[in-house]
Amino acid sequence: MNNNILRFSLILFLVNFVAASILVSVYYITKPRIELQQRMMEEESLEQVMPESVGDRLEPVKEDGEIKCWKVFKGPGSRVRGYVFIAKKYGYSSVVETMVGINNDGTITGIRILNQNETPGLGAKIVEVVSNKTLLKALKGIFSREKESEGKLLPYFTEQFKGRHIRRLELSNGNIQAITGATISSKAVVESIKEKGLEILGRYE
Amino acid sequence: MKKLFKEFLKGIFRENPTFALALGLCPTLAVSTSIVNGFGMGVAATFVILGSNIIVSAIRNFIPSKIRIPCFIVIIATFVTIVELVMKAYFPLLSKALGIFVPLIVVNCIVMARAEAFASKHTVVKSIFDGLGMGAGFTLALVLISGIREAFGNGTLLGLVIVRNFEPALLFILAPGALLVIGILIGIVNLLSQRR
Amino acid sequence: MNNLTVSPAPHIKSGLTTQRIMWIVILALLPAGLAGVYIFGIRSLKVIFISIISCILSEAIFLKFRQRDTRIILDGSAILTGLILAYNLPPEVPFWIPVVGGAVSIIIGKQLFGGLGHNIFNPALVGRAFLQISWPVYMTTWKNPRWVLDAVSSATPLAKEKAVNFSYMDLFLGNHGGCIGEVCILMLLIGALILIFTNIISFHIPASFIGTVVVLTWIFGGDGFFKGDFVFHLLAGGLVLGAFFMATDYVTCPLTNKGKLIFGIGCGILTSLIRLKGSYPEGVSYAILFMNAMVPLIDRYTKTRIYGISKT
Repeated sequence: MNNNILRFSLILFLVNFVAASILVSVYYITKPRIELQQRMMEEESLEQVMPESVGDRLEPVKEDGEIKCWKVFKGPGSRVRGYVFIAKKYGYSSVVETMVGINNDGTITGIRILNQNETPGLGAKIVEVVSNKTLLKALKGIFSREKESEGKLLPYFTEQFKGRHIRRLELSNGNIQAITGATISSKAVVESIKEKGLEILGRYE
Repeated sequence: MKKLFKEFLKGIFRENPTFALALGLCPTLAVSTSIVNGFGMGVAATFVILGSNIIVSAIRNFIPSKIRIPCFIVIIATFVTIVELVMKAYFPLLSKALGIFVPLIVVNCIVMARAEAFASKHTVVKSIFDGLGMGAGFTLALVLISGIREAFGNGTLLGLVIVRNFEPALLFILAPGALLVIGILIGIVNLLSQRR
Repeated sequence: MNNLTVSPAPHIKSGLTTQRIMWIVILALLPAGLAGVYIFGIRSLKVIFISIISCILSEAIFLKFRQRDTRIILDGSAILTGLILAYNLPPEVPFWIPVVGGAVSIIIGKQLFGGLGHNIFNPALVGRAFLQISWPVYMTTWKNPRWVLDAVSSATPLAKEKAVNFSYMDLFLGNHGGCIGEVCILMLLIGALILIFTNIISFHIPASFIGTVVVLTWIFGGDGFFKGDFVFHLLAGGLVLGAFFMATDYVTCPLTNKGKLIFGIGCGILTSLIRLKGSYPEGVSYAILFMNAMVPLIDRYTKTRIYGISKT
């Protein structure tokens, strides 16, 4: 009986040991690659919210140990040219997280929805990209060998924010057009940006 | 050879994990919203089934039956973690889309069922074919379900618009649509196998 | 009144056949439909016809596929389903909506379960739920009565965002936006009286359903307890249509009177809950569908004792 318990433990230990060693090696092999992917995603987001800021110096502004926003500096001088921040608000069924870039005068340079889990087909349209690729075209493309290059498409909803001033942001015709049937999700994006943006502008201006 | 091929085929038709055994329905319902997701999930699960089948059948004489379940779980969890890390490193978008359901392959009943019911009683070669067949059956089912859901619920296939001005029925992209599609497909499969 | 009580044998056969019941219900529904057509214009009549034709055609095709006698499409049940479905649609829907809705109602809601008498859910409501989830934008675009200048894109009285005030008289007569068949309470009540006086339905389900909604919206519907506008909740939306014509569907409601009371109260609780706390403005159809699923359970616990066997 005692002998059995010892044997079982030994076998379990062996199995676990082998499994753990394999996992450790896989972890170290993939680690640099995963970090690279994460950095690339961050850079891509930054490029989208502040197209001119690529290569500029970013400095996180911390408050109570939490990163509130990033100050963006132009060139080697210490002039702040704008801020990048992440705005959050509960929409219809999830927290909508948006990364926003603003110039120091309060004009939005671009926004990007980072995370959302809204209703597919309605609220989720805040990240929808209208592509004119159709099945027929794609099938034709296989045979014609002519690659139609399409520029990087951006969601039409978030594109509306570009160039608008943070103070004059609101959901209405002629301003930010809400997604049909998804007023609540659209409102969450607009309001979260406005609230956080005004807070940051008021503090550092 | 013919026998081995039979082991492979049974996973696709007669013992299809989704349509005949009704195993692993939870990830099937959750991730089958687009063909890319469905296919990615299928391949990931296939890799895990194949890996765990091989290891389990290789060490089946070494593991006492009293502690086989914890051993199986450790083996399966190892493969799942490998899949998760590799996916994060090389397919970040797919990994983001599948989200929690990649780590949840651990509790996918197909994997456990094949380890317990097949791999722990058969040779490595047979288990390889069984794992491949089950994985292929699962992937096929997922692609079929997600294809129907993507076409009707989003109006696209592989992200390409099928017909212009088609108004997709959102129901198919949402959870009730998944249940409806799986139910109807199981019905059709049963109808066909009855007629044969 | 007693010829509708469920009881053990011996039974007396009444002259009331399924077909006759169906046609009487259709007749009772007609006034409300006429009112809807009068209020919203001739387009709603087209929606009603398309819905009915879609239901009949789907039934015929599927019966053919199941190798059954296709003549039973004329038993009136498909027509009734189409009629109720159309009554639950906004008048301005594109014409393909009733086509799809009719097909879904009949095929998924009824025939896949085995046809009339075997369906768990009210077929018309299955179709309506499918449409509501699939094309929410079309299903919530309302139209004002045709004599109002600002024709399209109005809100139903129940919509939460807009505080539109309607007088009780407007609500009672149907002078506001809404689904085709639900707006005119007066005509619905005339139909309901026909059903009750011909013994087609008993008062149990409508009374307990409406009563529960009234009580709950009165208690919880306003700021503070017992301040809710229950008359408004009674007259607005599809409560009257749902309580008299949809919850009472023979196939999908409990058999015993006690069961019917439980069923009605359940519908009422769910309706009030969805209206007051949910994200949808209207909850009648989802409440009925949910309680439909409970019917086998209710029947099991309220079945009458077989004569001669003691209670165990």
